[in-house]
This record gives sequence, structure tokens and C-alpha cells, in this order.
Amino acid sequence: MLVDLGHLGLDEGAHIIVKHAIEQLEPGAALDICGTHAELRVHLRAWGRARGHGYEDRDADGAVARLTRGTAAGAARRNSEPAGHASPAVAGAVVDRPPGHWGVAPRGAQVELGGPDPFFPLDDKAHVWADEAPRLYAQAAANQWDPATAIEWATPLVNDELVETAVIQVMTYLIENEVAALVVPARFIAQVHSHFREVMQLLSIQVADEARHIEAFTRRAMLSGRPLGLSTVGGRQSLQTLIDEPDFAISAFLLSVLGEGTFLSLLSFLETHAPDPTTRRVAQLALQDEARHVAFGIAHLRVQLDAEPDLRARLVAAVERRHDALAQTGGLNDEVYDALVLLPQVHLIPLQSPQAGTACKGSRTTWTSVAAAVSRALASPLRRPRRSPLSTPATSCRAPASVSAGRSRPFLCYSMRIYAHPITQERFAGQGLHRGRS
Amino acid sequence: MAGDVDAACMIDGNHLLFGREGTFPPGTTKVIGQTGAYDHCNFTVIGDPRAPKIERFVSLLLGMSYDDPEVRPLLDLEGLKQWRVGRIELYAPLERAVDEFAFYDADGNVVAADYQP
Repeated sequence: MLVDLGHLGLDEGAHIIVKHAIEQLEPGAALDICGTHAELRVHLRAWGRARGHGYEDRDADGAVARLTRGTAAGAARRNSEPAGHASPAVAGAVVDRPPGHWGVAPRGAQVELGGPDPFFPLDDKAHVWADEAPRLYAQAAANQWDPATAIEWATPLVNDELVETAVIQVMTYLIENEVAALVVPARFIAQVHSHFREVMQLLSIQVADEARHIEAFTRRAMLSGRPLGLSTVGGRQSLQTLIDEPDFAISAFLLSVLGEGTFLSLLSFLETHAPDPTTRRVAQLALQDEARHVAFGIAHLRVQLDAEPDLRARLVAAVERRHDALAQTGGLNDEVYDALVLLPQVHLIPLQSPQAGTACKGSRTTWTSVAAAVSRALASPLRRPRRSPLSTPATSCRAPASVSAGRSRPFLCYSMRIYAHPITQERFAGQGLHRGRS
Repeated sequence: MAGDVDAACMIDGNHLLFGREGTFPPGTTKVIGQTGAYDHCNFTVIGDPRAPKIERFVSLLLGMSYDDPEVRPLLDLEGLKQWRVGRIELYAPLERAVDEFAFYDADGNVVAADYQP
């Protein structure tokens, strides 16, 4: 075979032509080269020697040099194996137990044998994969929002001090929960074999989602210039049990199914009932992200339970273990519970105001469902919903409401009952105030 | 390319490498001379080369295949594709050059005045 390089030198890319030609030959076969580059022979000798090809000068049949193909060329490809298929839609694309020596090679690549053999704790498809992972990752990537522009931060805040303090308290609670929700998947990302790239990607974008939520909740909390609220020991102990859970399946269940599932209720409540549009918008954006996290958690759990029926018992044990660990704590933040009650209110109005006194009509069902949502929003699997006159269906609005208006009516009844209850009467004693919406 | 020197000696592989990576822009240098091929590195043993351990060592080296995934990274570290039976004939050009430049004295000490390690 003869290759004519013309004036092109090996320092200008001609080696690609030579390489392509010689790799089509069998070991021991000859490749003649002709060309006019001044250093062609010098460079061909060096290039050939480095690749295990024989070299000799030529001056016949137009050739200036001859390379004899060695045995080393192509060794990497000869000694390689396929690592599944890049597209998860192809049958057999995702293998059950990818070997460690595939390392960070992309799924679908031809992997040269040899090299590092890292240990991936999460290398079993049955424990890691969910078929929804590719779709959920694509959805997440397409729905990343910018906290700086997706929220109208310049919208004036008109919350009175009590309500704004309540918003800040809720934001404080949300921030620490999102920190835990960031840390937990972050711990597992590096443990997942990169063969399951969509799971790795999904966990990574989940971490990015939570970072964005931390930023947005913090910014909302700081909007009025007041300090952040109370972070309780009980709350942090609860979150620490999530962070300390070493098993991926149990962690995904506790965080993404139970924890973030609960968060969906809370954020939905805030999206609807927060007192100002900025808070409602922040909650709305976080809600759409958390819904994806829960979707993966549930999809993953479904696969796990199919593969390992005994997992159910381990999940129960994990919940009970968490309960025991938190049994001696003071529970979740009372300030947060109270803040959620205060959030829908706009301002306090005097009890003697002519605006008080409108009858409350037919609001019991709506009030009950909303009050129950408040309780559910913070109910952990370990605690019963709070039992108080404020949150049971038995409580109804018998006292005259202040001003009636659309969706605010249920909360007016709620607030009236709060004022009427002996505990809250004590709390608001001396204020002579009655809360409602004008 | 700063124009500080008019000529230099270098390995042919380095001249190609410098051209490919752009250190020498294409067409800016010219090879004005080239030595013959020479050897510069081998395993040297002290004692009887026919000793069983030495023969075993040689056998292992010669048996290394570039196709072996466990061995290939080791050969790549040395820039090798295979081991060959030892020879000393091609050290002669290197020895002549070292003497011409008075790099070593008869006892092997570096005596080149401008040498810097």
C-alpha cells in the first residue's frame, strides 16, 4: 500500500492519514509513504518507533519511507468490552451489575480493559435504578429557574409584624429542611456507579434544586430586614436522623417519599395561603421541584419493593428506629405550627370594629380541610396530628365572623376560635384585638 | 522561538512533539543533521546472567504482551511496546559522543563545565 502525503507533515496532522492506513494492514505488512515535507523521514521514524512499527528509508517507486506494521497498534480496542448502551431505551442498555473497572467510562462506550478498578457501593441495578430516572432528569434540566429573575422581589411587602414574623419562622424551618435535603442525596452521588448515569444526574440536579430553594427561602426570610426565626433541637435532631441513614433505599424512602412528600403538602399550603405574592411564588417554584423528587422516590421505592419484598420490613424498622431516636426530643417547632396558622392573616382589626360581626356561612368543610392541611403539613410519621380544638373537625365556627370574603372566610372562623379558646385568649390578653381580613 | 539560540540537539520524537503541540510553529525549524540510531537504556545485572533468577526475570520481560491489560499500563509508563533481548552494540555512538564532548572523565564523573542538573 502507498500513501501520498503531498506537502503535509506529521506535525500538521498527516499522522492521522498514516495511522488510518497502517491499521488496515495485518502485523508484518508494509506501508510505503511518499511526500515532500522536509522532515518527513525524521518524523516518520520517530512516530513509527513510538507505536512499535518498523521503519526504513525508501527511495523507490516514489516512496521515501516504509513502515512495517507492528503488533502493538490497536491493542486498546482489541482488548476492550462494551459497557451497555448509551440509550436506556435499548434492550439490555443498563446492565445489572456493572464492574468496577468500567469506572467513569460512559455507558455505551467501548471500555479498554485494565486501568483503575474503583469501588462503587451502589453498583446493583436492582437497588439503584428506576425507569423513570431519564425522564425525570430531562424534566428537571428543562425546568431550572433562576431565583433572581423568576420571583418579583421588588413587590412591596405589606405584612404586619406578626404575620411577617410568622413567614420568617416558616422560611427558617424550610431552609434547614432543604439543607438536609441537599446533604442526603449529595452523600450518595459519588457512591452510585456512573453506569447508572441518569440516577447520578437526577441526584445531582436534586442537589442543585435544593441549593436554589435555600437561596430563595433565605432571600424571602431576609426581605423585611428582620432576623431569621428559631431552629429547634427537635427539628435538627429529626433532620440528623435522615442525614445519618447509611442505606440508599431507606434514605430515599425517608427523605424523598415521607419527608418531601410532607413538604408537598406544606408548600402547596403556602402557595395558596401565604399572605404575600412573593412568598406564594417562592413556594410555587419550590413545589414543582419537590414534586419531581417525590416522583423519583416513589418510582425507586416501587422497583425496590418488587426486587426485595423484605424491604418493607426494613422500612418499618427504619421508621421505628427514627421514632425511638426522636422520642425524647421536644418534637417539631411549636413556632412553626403557630406560624402556619397566622400566615393567611393580613392584619389584626379591633374587636369593636364595625367590620366584625358578619355571620360565617357554610365554611366548616373548607375550614376543616385547611386546618387539617396545616396539621398534616408538619405531621411526621412518628407523631399523631396535633389534637387541639383548633384542628379537629369538631370545632366549628359558631362565633360571629369578622369580615367575610371569599377564601379568607375559613381562616376568619379559625382565627375567631383561636381568640375564643382559653389558651389563645391568654396569649392575646390585653391586646383587645381580633384578627381578620378587611 | 525567541531567537536566543541558533541550533540545538534533541530527540527526533521531541522535535515531532514540539511541532504538533505548537511549541515549534510549522516551518520555523529545520533539521540540519541526524545521528544514527543508538540505545540508551537497558537492564544490567551483576553476576552470572545464567543464574535461574536472572533467566526467570528475562523470561518474564520477554513474555510481556502489549495486549495484556495488566501489563500495558506498565509498558506505557516506560514508553515501550515490548522488551527485546539485550544488546550493547548501539551504545558505541553514544559513547563516542560523550567522549567528544568531554562530558564524563575516565572514572565516570561529570566534568562538563556548563552542565547543570
